[in-house]
Amino acid sequence: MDPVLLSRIQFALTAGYHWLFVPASIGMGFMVFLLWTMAAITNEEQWHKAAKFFSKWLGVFFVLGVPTGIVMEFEFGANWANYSTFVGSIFGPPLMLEGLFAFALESTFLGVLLFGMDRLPRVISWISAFFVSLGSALSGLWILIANSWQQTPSAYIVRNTPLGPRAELTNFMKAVFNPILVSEYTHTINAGIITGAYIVVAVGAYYLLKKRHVQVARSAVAIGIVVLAISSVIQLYPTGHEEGRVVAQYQPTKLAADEGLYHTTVGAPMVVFGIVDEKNQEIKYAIEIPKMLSWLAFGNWNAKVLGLHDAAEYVWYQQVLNNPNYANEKVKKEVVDSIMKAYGINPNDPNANQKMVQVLEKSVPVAFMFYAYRVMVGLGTLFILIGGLGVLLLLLGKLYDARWFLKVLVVTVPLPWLASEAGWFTHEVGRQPWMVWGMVTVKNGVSQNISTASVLTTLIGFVVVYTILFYIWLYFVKKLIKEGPEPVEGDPTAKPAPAVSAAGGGQ
Amino acid sequence: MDYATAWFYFSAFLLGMYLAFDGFDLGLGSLLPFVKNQKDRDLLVNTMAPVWDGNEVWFISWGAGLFAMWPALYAVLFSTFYLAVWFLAFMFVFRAVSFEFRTKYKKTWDYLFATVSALIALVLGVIVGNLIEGIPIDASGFHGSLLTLFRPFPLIVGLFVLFAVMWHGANWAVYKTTGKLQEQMRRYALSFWVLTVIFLLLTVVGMKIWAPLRFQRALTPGGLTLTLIILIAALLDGYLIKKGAEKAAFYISWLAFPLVVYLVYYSMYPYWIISTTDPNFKLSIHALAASPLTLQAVLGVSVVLAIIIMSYTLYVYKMFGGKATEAEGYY
Repeated sequence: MDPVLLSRIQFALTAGYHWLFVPASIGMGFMVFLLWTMAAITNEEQWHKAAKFFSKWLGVFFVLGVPTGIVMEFEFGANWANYSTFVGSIFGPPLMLEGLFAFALESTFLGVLLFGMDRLPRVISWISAFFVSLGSALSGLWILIANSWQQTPSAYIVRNTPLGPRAELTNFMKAVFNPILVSEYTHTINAGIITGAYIVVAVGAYYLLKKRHVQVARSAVAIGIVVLAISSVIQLYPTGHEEGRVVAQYQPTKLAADEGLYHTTVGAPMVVFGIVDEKNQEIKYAIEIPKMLSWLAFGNWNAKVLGLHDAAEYVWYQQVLNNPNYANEKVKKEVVDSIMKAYGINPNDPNANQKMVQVLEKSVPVAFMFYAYRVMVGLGTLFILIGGLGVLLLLLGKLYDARWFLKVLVVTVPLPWLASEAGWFTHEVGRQPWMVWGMVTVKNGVSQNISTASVLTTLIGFVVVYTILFYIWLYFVKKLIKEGPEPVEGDPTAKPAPAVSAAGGGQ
Repeated sequence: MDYATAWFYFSAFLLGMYLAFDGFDLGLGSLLPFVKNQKDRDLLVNTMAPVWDGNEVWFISWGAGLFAMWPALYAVLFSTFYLAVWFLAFMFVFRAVSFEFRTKYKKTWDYLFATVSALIALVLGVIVGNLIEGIPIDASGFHGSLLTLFRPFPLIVGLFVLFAVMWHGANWAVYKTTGKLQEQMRRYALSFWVLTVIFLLLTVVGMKIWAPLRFQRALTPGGLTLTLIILIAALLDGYLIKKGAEKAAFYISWLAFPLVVYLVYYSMYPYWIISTTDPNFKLSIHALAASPLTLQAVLGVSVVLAIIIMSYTLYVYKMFGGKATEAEGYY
């Protein structure tokens, strides 16, 4: 156990945990704004109650999103100090602007929304819901600007400074609009919307099954299923497709691992499913669509797609050694040598480059990526089916009574999270060993002055604290479900919240 | 003024705003155990509930600003004080959770909230104290342990910050409440005001003993003027609390924080880090700064955004203005 591995585990844990609450917050923000808009348009009580009810849901996601996000900000400096010194000049500003541009808007108006629902005019709540939704969308934008820059770094120059080599901005806007930003952003925000829609649908379906709060539940299910159907389609095309194309162009090792493509192929097929045999470097029992991968990745049925080894070689020679963004050869050599040394390779060894290619090749866990990618795409496809079927039932007027379908909706509610986590794995594990593509690897980015014992201590701390938090969070979700929305007048199924919870004030 | 200097003072503004806004949350939180009646405690918590998430903005922006504009400093501080930093991070997590989820087991959550609020204030002060006094660091790295952080001077600064936020929190509570609770809070406002003034003076004396370089800088006309304003403001606040001018008293403690932070930054300029062991080892804000384009590109927009945030924040405070009622939380 070394600090690098432990820091990686800690980062994966903290980021993965934060990632449980982020898509839900983004999606719920959007759904809540839609519900408040419906309430404003129709002026009907059930929409209004639904808007209020789901605003509280937004609150319980947001509550854990904020502190787990602050933790990540700490992590960059504490565990990844070398990385921070190297790219902080570029990675830091989006984080700062996230705070000022987005988090400020989101958190301030979430307060207004949650605590003003009963005291302030409805139009204020509607405006607040809009700002919360806008804030979370902008928040995602700035964070993904930072993230996407690491995937496809642009508009920078690496200079030698008294503090060591570091990347400096050459053009702010070009660094912001790096190649992968637009597809990554739309794909991620849309994943959030799928999650939000799914939660609204599932909660509504639960009440329909229990025959409680039927009017509010119908509104929720109706609007949720429509949003779910539309966003699921968008997730596949154009956002998912676009992201795949950019990855094919800029991160060939990631594409090769996603597809389990070991050998460079002209007219590569798309593997729908198969079993990865890492030892023999092949996919067993593969179900394939001929030439499909070449077409998806490059828009040409006969395009050549690099296999893992060739992709790693391409990355090392073309994207690292031929990287034009160095101020001079001296600083480039310094950075390249330090990358090799971190992996125990002597830069003067005549086979150094081949050894480094092997490191790149082995850093991407093919089987893991192959399955994670299929979980993401498979679930995405399932969401399209469920959403489509739901809309069909809605149009036929049978949705609210199709109990089997409502049960499916309730049971499958964890799946959007699973899909998001799988997508996150695909995106982040796939860029291993790079923290910043072609420039900083995890071994080069880690802090030099932290000990194994320190990291182990904090890692155990996180496991304990996050487990407790998750339990508390579940308790509050359960409580929300039990209490339900405020009763709609004239709805005989609307049971008022138990009197006990109203006592004592506080929250 | 160069960009690094501009950022330095903008960073002071962000930290000042954090202590002005979230300061009373921290202080009020620390005061909860002194309030025996559960209903009163609920009322106090309710006074900050609508605005407290917004208050965190300033902390996040301040931290991210340090990261963006002095990445090397951020990296050195955070990795050197690894365990202290994570301790602080855990406190933030617990604070958010104990605040938001206190419906059940209220008393336990309240004590937890109070403890972590006080600890956050104290540790933040200790960290600032270390920046003022300097740390045992030289070209070969940091020489010390976690305990090195808790020397006498940083502890004095830590206690100063703790008492100051409690004074500020009590001022807020006086402003938001009525009757018996208000009377109790007024007494606390006075007691913690006394402690704050004492520890402010101790800090100044401590600076002379332990941080002569910073002390000299504070003795320049700019520093002396600021010190004088702060002392007058502090003394005036005691008078206002006694007189029952609750609004004015709160506004003054609200304004005092940015001024104190500004004074601290002023006395540190231009060195983020000085060494306690090697008098020649100093890291200036210019040496540690991000690349020039980064400093330039984000400054204007950040200042404009900070002004916009200030305006809608104040609007929101007005929206929830007036005395607190026993209104329900949102869960």
